[in-house]
Amino acid sequence: MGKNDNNNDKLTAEEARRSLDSIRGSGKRIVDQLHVPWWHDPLLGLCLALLVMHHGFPTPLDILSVALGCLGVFFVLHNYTHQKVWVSGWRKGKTEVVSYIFFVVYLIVFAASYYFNWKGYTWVVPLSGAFIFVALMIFGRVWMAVWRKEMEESE
Amino acid sequence: MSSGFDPIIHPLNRLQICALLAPIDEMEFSLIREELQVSDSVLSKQLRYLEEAGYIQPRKANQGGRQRTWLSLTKTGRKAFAGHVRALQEVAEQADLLGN
Repeated sequence: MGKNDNNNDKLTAEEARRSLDSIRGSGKRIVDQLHVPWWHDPLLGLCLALLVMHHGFPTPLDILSVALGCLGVFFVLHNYTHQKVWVSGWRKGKTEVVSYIFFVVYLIVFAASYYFNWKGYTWVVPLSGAFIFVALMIFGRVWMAVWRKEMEESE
Repeated sequence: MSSGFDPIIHPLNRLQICALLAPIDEMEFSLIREELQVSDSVLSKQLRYLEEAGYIQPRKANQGGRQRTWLSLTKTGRKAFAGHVRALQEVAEQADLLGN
């Protein structure tokens, strides 16, 4: 066991307070360390937009756009999980709600884009892609703000 | 003594490691070392205790030609850390009530 081990059965109030003090401020320190590259959200937005619009492209462009979209998402996620600190978008808490809202919005936009394009309103395709791109940019900022607030409140 | 008290987590360095890992998914070894201001060997030793207890999980990957390690708290580790913090709070609150 380490030098600072304590296997005593009696934990004094002083020791408990000292331990709690030592971890106070951890959330703030983590917030300061989370650095997401500036290009993550724009690239992810672009990939998700491609995936939403793919049904409006002729073959083989539709297959190519799905492949590019998936590769891009994989690349962003791989880079994100190789940062010094990373937090899942689906972690428990208020941020999970933000993620679910975006997921539902994405599904609705995808379904609407598919349906209206099938009905002949082809202009919906680029519009849905642009909408998802902007929504992702906003979602990224909102998610980060909610997470930061949650971290600070947990102190 | 509260049942949540965990002697594996209680040493200061290990408690701080758990506190850093609890609200996130993964943190790189070098950053934990900087945050704790300890040497590689001290941190490795503390991490080994936590890993043997099943509280943390390492992930190794090559990046920029060198091996890097990320650490995460396991489900068991999260539960144990939450229980331990609760136990510490209980002891401190009881003492406050008694005016100690």
